[in-house]
Amino acid sequence: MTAAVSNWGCTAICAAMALRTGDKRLIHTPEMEARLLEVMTANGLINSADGLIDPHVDGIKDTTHIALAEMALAITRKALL
Amino acid sequence: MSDFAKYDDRLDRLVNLDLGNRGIEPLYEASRALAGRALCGAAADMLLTIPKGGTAIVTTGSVSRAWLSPELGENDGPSGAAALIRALWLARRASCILVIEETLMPPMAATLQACGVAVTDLEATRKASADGTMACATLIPYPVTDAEGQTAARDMLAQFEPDVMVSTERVGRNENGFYYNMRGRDYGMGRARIDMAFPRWPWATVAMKLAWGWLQRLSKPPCHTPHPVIARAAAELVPCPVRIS
Repeated sequence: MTAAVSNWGCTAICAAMALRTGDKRLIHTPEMEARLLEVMTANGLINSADGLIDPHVDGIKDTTHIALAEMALAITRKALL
Repeated sequence: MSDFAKYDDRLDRLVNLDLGNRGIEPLYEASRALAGRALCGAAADMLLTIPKGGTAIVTTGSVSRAWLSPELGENDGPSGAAALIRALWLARRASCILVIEETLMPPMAATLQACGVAVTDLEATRKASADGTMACATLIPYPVTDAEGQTAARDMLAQFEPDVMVSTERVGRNENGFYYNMRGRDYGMGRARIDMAFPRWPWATVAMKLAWGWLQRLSKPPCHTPHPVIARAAAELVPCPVRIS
């Protein structure tokens, strides 16, 4: 599985698993993404591209990661209605 | 064609948007062409093939400033691994064992808990998997020396007999045994040798954002630019046989 950010690859796989099982709980939601970004920052994990402890990942802003989770959710929504 | 193919393709395209300009899109195109289907769908199918209550070894963790301290871990990897572990438990009630540097166990445990997964010992994880009462996972440390890493690979696989192994954001060594980051800097110090376990377990493996060390093994000097051989190597890691238990 290739992905521009490893976390994104996992988001896509979770969404694909949700599609196959019909179980929305498997989706990595934007709310969960926001929570995990906060927790990782609070626990000292680093944004490696910028060399800082912050909620941005691979130098890409936190809001983009949350938006990506929203897009993944939107892609599955029609199939999981 | 799978009923999910069009959704899988949209998800693949979304997560391979190369916003960081790291050259991932040619790797994706080569992998997609070889697999003949969306990669996220192939990975999802593989993960859902494991038996209910089966065992998944998941690994992540990049000590990306290893030359400063092995306690400095990257935030790409842990949240994705946690999301996958949560999904594996919800879908298959899998016993998930997350293998990582000992130095990164505290932030990883916090990330799992924030994702809804309790961190417990192996006995509790197995029990929770069997009775379905709680999403649990077990964290285990992996040695950081080559000699211990080889022994641990053999012992870990014999002990856990995983139905699937998942690696996200982990590096592998180049042909000279060095772990290079994408800028060609050796950052193998204090790094768990978990990559040694993967060649020993070819049954069912999902790897995310392929390890720079493995790519560099085929393309010297260390580079950050997609290379035809690298793309081929990336593609070859995608379709793997699934172990039938």
